[in-house]
Amino acid sequence: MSNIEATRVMGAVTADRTQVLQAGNAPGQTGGDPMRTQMGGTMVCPICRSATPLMEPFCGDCGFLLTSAPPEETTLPPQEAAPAELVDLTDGRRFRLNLGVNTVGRQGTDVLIIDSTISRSHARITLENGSVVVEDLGSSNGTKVGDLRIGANQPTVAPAGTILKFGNWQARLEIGTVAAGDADKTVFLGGDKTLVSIPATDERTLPGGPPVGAGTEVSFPPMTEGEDAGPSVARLRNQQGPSPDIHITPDLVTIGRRAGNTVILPNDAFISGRHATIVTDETGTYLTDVGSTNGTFVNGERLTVDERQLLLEGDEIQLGQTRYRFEPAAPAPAESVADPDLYAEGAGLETSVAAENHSE
Amino acid sequence: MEDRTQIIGGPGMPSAPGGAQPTVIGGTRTQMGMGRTQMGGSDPMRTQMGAPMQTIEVECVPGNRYGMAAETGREHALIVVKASGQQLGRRAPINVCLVIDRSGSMEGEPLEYVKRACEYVVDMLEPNDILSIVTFEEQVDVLMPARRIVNKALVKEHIRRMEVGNTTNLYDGLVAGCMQIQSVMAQTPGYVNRVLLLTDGEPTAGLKDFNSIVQQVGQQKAQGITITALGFGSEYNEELMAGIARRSGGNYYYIQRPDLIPEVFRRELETLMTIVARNVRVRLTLTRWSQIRQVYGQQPAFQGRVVEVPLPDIERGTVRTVLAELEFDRRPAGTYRVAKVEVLYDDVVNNRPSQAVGDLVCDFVTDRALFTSGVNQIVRNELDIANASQNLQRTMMGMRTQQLTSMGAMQELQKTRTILMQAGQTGQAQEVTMAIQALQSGGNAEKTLMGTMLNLDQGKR
Repeated sequence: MSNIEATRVMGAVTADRTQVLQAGNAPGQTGGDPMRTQMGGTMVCPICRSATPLMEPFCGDCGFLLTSAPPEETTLPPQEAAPAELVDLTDGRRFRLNLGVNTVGRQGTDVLIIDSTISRSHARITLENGSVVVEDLGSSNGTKVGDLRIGANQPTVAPAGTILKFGNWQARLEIGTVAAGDADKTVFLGGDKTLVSIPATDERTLPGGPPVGAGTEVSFPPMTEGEDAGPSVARLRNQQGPSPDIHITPDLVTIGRRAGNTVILPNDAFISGRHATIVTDETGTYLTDVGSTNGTFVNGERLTVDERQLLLEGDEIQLGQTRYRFEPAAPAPAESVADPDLYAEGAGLETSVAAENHSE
Repeated sequence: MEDRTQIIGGPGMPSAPGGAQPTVIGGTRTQMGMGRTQMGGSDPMRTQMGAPMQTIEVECVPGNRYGMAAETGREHALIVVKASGQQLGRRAPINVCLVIDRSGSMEGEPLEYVKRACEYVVDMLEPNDILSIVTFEEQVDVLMPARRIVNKALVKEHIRRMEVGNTTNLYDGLVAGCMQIQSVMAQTPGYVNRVLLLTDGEPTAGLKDFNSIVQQVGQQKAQGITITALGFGSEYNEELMAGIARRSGGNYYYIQRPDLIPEVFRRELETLMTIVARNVRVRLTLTRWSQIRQVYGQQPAFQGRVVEVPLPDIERGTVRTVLAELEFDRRPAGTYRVAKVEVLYDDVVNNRPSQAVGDLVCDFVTDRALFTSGVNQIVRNELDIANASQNLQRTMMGMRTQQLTSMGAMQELQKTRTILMQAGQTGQAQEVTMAIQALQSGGNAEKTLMGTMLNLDQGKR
């Protein structure tokens, strides 16, 4: 009998659960919302804070064994900066590139993209001395660096910001986003800490090497490298629900519960890991559901997955349990990237949301 | 009459001695077995021994029982799908269609042996089984439409009238065979459906290209029809035939001499008669911080966090393995289910859909020494086998493109053979030996190796 089964005797489960609940509410723990932990029939995971039905032995989201004692340390040291990243143009997913050789393809590669137009072993991206070199490995559907289609085994230098195309999959190359110094911030909404600033670090490790352990302890999960938070062009203002306002920057905004999104909403179980994206161009701001479980609604109508929807002032948007109003910003001169006001504003918002939660 | 028990997590249901045996592979009991197996949708019952019994059990073995907390990592995971060796009831009846190439090249001995093989099949079938026979050359003939055999002598008489024709219209023959099986499928739920496709040459009439044929095979598979590809002689296209079997989840045989045809038919039919589960899919639901990088030898279907891998039909007492490579994001220390594993299948003995469930669990720790100690040798072994299959593919590619000399290929095959021997795959190692011998005598190694690769990739152990 495995140790799992051994712990699944009902009495033991109850006992353990109680213990976990207490631990979860204990001061000093990344404190949960007391309203939620007492909800009948569910158990809040001490690790990721998602609610799971009581009968389930494992957290439905992160898989933590709920009958086991939560670890003493639920915080993680900050991850070392990614030397470079590929950002998926359609859904904003970020793929880390390490120093040295990174393979791109459909099977067993460092950058793994499940797309039928991508060959199993499609291309190679080499990071050396701050420059990024892309090389096609004889793929069926080819590789493009910017507008240039590169032949097989023709190493081609790609500057930061270049659009790379592998088969039909497109991504933007970002180099040293975090290590650059001023852009290293994660907006972590709805957590216990509103904003988590990961200090820039020039320490980098080779692939497979030990991680850089040094750094400030931050609230878990801090794994998102900061998106270059540009000036806010619009916002989704909370009308009702648990999540705070969402700032829309000119860059791609990705919304979801998981780390890796620009806007992380970890405390709403109705938000999918990757829920929706918002893109703004000169024609307007567009909201796209990227395959969420519970859907994205604009004025009461559920969006078709992967079909973008133009947002107009006053549109009512439902993401998870929160209803928002879309409010474009008044035309204003662009603010600088590292505008401290943005932090201040974000912190203020969080306070108001917290107050709202307690008043429920 | 079989007994099946619903195990819910274990508590209150002590595992009786002689009950659910831990899956033993290679003689070592798996440590982080998490052998929690549940049957879905059946009433709780016990055998007289108090032993729970399922048609299919699943075991999930991480390549390392530990992971490093707060670090990204890659790990393999082995899913062992095991069919009970006990006869749980009457065997499932079969609905089989023999699709026979009677092109000009089959004239003489080959066709005579084919007739003998067909008669043999007729003899082996029981009253409930359904047989149809389709022959093809330029045209397609339905020699015998799908039905239960009442008068065996009469059917054999029809078989003896088979005559050779001209070209090879494999595609239309295959479709006609599948249609025969389909024509009675509504009345035969719970039957094992199978086409035995025998050919000795390249398709020369009808649709001839690999993709059209394999696509058709895929559609038939979706309808629940599996095709076993039997290649006879030295002229058939082994890539096509192995491709058909691979797409279909069927078997592939290389029949070197005409006198072996009846024996291969017998073997395939015996296999069919022991099938206990069909339409088998392994579904992995990944939790947060876990991604799948690849499934060896397979093209899984991805949908969000769910990855589904189709498996071939499973015979009584056999094991299928699925080896996946996972990627872990950073996470706090603790015990996590990195994936929920469900094996969904049609239980043909009891004629109902069923499932077995397991959990792939890892302990994420901060102690590197502990982490290093957690490596599972069984999973390592499976990885060696998966690599052997990839080696074979590379060797064959090298031979085809003439980049490898016959001598170089033999050296490569020797290496692969050694790996397979060390991994305990003696049967497959023997096949590689045969391929080496074939190369030495200037013969055809690829027809054998195609089958070896397919078996390795299908996870037959």
